[in-house]
Amino acid sequence: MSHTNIRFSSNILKRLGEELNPDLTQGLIELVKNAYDADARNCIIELNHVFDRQQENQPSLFSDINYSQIIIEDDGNGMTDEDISNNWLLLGESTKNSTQKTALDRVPVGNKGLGRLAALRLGMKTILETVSQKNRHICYRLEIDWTAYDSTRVVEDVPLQITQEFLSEEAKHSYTKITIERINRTITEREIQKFARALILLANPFTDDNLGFKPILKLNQFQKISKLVEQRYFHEAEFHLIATVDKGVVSAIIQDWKGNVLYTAVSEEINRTHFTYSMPDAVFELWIFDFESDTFSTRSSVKSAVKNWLGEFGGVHLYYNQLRVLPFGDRQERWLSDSLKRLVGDRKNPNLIGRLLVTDTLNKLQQTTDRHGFVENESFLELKRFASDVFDWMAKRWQQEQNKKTQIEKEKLEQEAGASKRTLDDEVSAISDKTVRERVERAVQERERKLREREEKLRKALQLYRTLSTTGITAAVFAHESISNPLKTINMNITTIEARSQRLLSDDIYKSKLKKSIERIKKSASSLSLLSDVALRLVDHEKRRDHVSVDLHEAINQTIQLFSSFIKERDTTIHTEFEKTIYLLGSQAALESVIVNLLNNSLVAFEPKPLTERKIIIRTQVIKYHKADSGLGVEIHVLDNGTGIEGIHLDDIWLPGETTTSHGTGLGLTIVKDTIQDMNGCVEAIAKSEELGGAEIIITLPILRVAEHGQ
Amino acid sequence: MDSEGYIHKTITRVAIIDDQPDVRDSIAEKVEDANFTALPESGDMTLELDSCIEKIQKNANAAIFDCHLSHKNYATFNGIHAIKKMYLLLFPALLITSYANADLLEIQQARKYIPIVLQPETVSPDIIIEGFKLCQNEFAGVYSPERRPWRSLVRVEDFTGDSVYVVVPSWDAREKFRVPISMFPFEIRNEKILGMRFFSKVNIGAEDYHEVYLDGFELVEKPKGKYASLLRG
Repeated sequence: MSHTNIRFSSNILKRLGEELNPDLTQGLIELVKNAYDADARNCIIELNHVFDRQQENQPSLFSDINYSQIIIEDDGNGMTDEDISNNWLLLGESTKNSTQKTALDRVPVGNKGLGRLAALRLGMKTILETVSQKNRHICYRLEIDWTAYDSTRVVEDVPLQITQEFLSEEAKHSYTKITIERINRTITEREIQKFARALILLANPFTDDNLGFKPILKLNQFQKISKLVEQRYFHEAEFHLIATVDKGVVSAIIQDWKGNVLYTAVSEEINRTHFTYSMPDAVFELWIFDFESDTFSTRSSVKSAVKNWLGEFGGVHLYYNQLRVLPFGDRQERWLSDSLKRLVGDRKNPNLIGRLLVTDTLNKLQQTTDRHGFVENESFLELKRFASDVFDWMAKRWQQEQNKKTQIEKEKLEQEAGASKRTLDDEVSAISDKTVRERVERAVQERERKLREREEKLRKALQLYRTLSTTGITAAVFAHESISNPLKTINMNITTIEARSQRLLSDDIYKSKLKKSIERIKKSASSLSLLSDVALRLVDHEKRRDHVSVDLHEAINQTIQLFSSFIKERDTTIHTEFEKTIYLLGSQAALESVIVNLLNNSLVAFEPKPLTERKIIIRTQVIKYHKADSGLGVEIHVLDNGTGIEGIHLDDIWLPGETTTSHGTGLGLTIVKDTIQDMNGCVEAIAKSEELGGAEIIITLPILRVAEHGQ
Repeated sequence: MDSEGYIHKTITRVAIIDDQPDVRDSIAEKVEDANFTALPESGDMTLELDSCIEKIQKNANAAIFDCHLSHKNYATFNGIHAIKKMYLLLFPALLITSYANADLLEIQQARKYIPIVLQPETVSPDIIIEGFKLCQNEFAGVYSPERRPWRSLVRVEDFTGDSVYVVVPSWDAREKFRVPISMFPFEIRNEKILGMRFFSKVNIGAEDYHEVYLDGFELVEKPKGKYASLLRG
């Protein structure tokens, strides 16, 4: 029997290095994390001759492969020759155990030993020099020539030697210095900015109780960005949220900018499930800035400086056992993006900064092998659930505050209006010429009357909106109720009666005495089902997703389908003339409300006129449109052969409350116009079209993209 | 009783579990017309699901459930969960619902265990008999063409947070339909799922997407190499 074992090709080193940490920032940050784990207080990173272009005031840094090097030096515990052989050179395993803290009470963050491989391999040669705190008289040195691996098949075939030098004088402190020489690639300005930002944010620079760990990059950019981070503008935030999870139970407070507690929440208000958060303990802090608010102008900081600071460091950063984990909080990262949207809408630069500090001594969260984020295990998903729930709670409180502000502003406006009225009255009564005074008084009174009339009209329109919303909600509830109970009962019993009477009675008696009645009940029940179904489908939550790509023709067809029974009942036919497949940006609910309102108008317009053929045409046409990013728009023509627009000025049809029928709400076309304007489009009307003789509504909307049929 | 015993057992007594008394009695009449003894459960469903199932199994040899059972605290579970459990115990059970939109996702998730969904408008004694037969056949491994699973490709086209839209080309290459995200493995219940392809057991003979079930997910690797773009295209 012969013994053998699995060996690894030299190629594997290259692959692991390149594939696990393709990013410069990620690789170097791993080396800095190693320094943190070794209880270093300082870690200095130097980059020489590696830049793709001249750096500001530092001409010597321009790329030259022969002199290019990256140096990372820390004042940590250092290593003995045994540490180097058994830990540093052993890839894939680490003695670091996060359940055991270091002498400086730090929870080790680097692991697997793979992280540093990418960075070490950035150059052709790596030199390690270290003095261990255990014996500061010996300096160990190791050189790795990576080119040697290119010519050997197996990793173990390249011998490495640790040399030692006895220092006549004891070193002042232990240290580890890694020099990476002859760098294979140049580094761009953008990469260095990214690295500087990551380095600054690494050890939670936002609080004074820092960890005594200060990584420094010897570079001008770094100094600038480093100064910027020191400008802590947290005190300028409108709201400061602090939420904690302790053994799965959450509690939270929101403070205003003066530190007064505005809101407090116990667990049930935030966590709507019965399950506590199955995740490590965490503290989530969030600062929200309100630059619109009048209050900001009274603050000490300049708005642009705060915005600049937020632009550089904004986002929600995740600190795992004190050190930041990439890429959470990076600009392109979509972590918590849905929750953010709920809080700040679609603003490109949300005015907030946050940090989520997670203390995980039991290794519940696992960083991915490429050190980019976490494995999406239950703890991580629970962490996201916690953050998302807190965001939701915060969003509600934010809305509450905004409502309060609106109310205060309204009251202020009313007071101001009263004051200006008094001033006006005083000025008028001060006019000495009686005739002139009386003329002015009449004019003022007339103007006030008109203003009151307009206000009254708006108030009525608003009330109508509210009433209709309530009607809608009630209709949906009734629809749900009728489907779930009475309709079920009617349907089942009528079919039972039908089947039993067919069985028990003679065919003649059944047909002459019962059949027609039973069929009428079945038909009516079926109409009722459809009505309920329409009401429920209109409020389908899924359709209200906004800012999504919506297939225009599919939305129109679905709406027509939904109303097919009404349309058929009114002897009306709808012709659709669609080319291509057109996608718009919006929500299906928005398009649906436009089409429903236009169809309703057409159906109403048919009522006074006996027609042999009631016809509606919906036609779409792609046009050039300057308001669209794509440069394309779609014209939607909705026309009918009804009575046309009569008895109302064409401009007035869009106004709320304007209607020509006794049972009309006068809101349909207002909703159409508002919705179309929200979608960055426009709408116009023709009172009587040449083609069909009835009204024609022409809507123009920007197109997101067009596909030929079947694409 | 040994579960195996239900496979071809003659059905005589049918339990009816519905939180609305009128609906419950209406179903009972249909069941009677199918020549079974109807046992409308008028209460006592407030126990844990397992205890209720045990009780039903003791008195009846088939059951019909409504989807929602929470009205006036009638039961602590819903009909979908109950039917899934009963299917696994090889006990014939049918679901009756109006297909309210809100329930579609939940039904879809358990659809593998729900051979037929009865609708109040169309339910008849014959359909009830047919439904029980379908259950018993499936317990014996005999599937109708509409229910038979085939290993099929599933493509994820859209992600909405709690659900995804998928296309099963071998069922209908043009129709996208919605399935709950919770059907997928834990670690991909996020945006990463977009564009992913899986092999899953799908009843591609289903006529409507409401009847389609997906069972098991096996990730399909994206084509790699020189000709990958041709394959993807």
